[in-house]
Amino acid sequence: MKNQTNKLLLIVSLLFVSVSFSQAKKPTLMVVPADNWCYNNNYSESYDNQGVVKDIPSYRIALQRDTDLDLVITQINGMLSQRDFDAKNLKSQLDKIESAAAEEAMRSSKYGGAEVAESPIDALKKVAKADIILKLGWTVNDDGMEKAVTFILKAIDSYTGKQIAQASGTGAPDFSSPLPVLLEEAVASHIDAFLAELQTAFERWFEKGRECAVGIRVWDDWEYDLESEDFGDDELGFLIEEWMEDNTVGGAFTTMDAEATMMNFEQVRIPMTYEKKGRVRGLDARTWAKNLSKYLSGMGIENKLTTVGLGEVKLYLGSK
Amino acid sequence: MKNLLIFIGILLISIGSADAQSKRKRKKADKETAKWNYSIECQGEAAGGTYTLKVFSIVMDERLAGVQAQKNAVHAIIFQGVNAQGRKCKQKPALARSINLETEREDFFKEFFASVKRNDPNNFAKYVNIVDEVTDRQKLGKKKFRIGSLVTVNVGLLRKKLEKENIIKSLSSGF
Repeated sequence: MKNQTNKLLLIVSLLFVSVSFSQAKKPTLMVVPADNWCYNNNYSESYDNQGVVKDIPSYRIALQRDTDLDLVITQINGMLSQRDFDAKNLKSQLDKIESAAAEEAMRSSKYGGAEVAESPIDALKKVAKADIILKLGWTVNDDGMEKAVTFILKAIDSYTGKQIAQASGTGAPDFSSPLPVLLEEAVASHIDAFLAELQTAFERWFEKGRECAVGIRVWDDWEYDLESEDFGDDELGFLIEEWMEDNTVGGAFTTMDAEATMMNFEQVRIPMTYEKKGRVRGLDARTWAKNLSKYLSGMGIENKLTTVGLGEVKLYLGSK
Repeated sequence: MKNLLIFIGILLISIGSADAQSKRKRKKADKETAKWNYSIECQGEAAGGTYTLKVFSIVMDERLAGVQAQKNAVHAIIFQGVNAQGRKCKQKPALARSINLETEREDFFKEFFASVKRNDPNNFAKYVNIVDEVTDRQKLGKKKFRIGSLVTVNVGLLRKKLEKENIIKSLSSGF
């Protein structure tokens, strides 16, 4: 009897383990106000990009001055949470940036590299590492008697920059309800269709692979380049393309640029999961590109792998 | 003693007849259901994922209009979605992500839409409320009526139930 109970427990634990590990990496979401909404409401700040001064949206000013924005973001976050997606809170991420401001922002070779100026938006993207950015905006149409809210919500895949879901429209005109109520109604009426589109995008990822971008760069001090034929029966660039063909879902990828010192691949479809030590695990671009890095190392090419969140990788050839 | 026996006999016969009548009614309702002869108009939506719908059901028996309207509303939410209605309602996608879901999970939906008691957790009635049983009435033929009813459907709860039963996939499924 005891043996049988132990066997049963073992089976149940194995099932639990297989279920726990057979999951792809869940994309992280963050809701931010749309750029044009920020500009229209004067929630912008000047930013000096190496001598060129330009206006950029300021999420902090928007959150400090606009209580409706906080309300809408909280409502959307709440609805995502009901569907088992915990969105990153914009305000918490902005606080994080402030506390991490002293950290080194540049990314370079161990032996050198140019310092890169970073805008507050880039800093936010770097800290939040949200895979999908939900951009929202609204305008109030007031004809003096009645008010109606035109609402727009877009989901942007951070790493491909593609819009993967959207919801927009104008609500019913109302002469008595305050703006927060109209906004609440707008979110409630759009969210179902929006999340259905988002789910379609997720299903597409599982079917056709997660789309990511891959960049190959060559350090100046490396004696070879991507046109070198010293690493196989073809130029290095073509060997990399061949590896991509073999390691993407259905061989799907697009070579955007192919020069002697750089290559850019977009719409690279990588599987959502992979198997290691008998377990199915979530696959992100970094883990996937690690195999390319190993392939190149196997040819004697020292390389450095860098990533941006889950979906964009860059390989620097020549040194670490 | 004799009178008592007669009384008990009459009581048993009447209970049996009521039960048979109820069974007949249920069978009739299920038969009506299988036709899915209805049209839907969205009347409004609340923040908690509750839609107010006007259902126009084509029925042979007017008495079944209420229960039929509730079934039709839930059926529309799951399989058809709801069309936008001016500025009152935005387009609502169907909960089903596959066009063959109804036939693929026939057994589940047969039980789900069966005319059983409301407190059964596997029953459609848990997710729908009837506000006004008859708002419009139109006689189409000798035994054919088009009855308009106002109902509310708790779509959030309905979605959770179908996700839990693995009938539809949740937004986070696979992750």
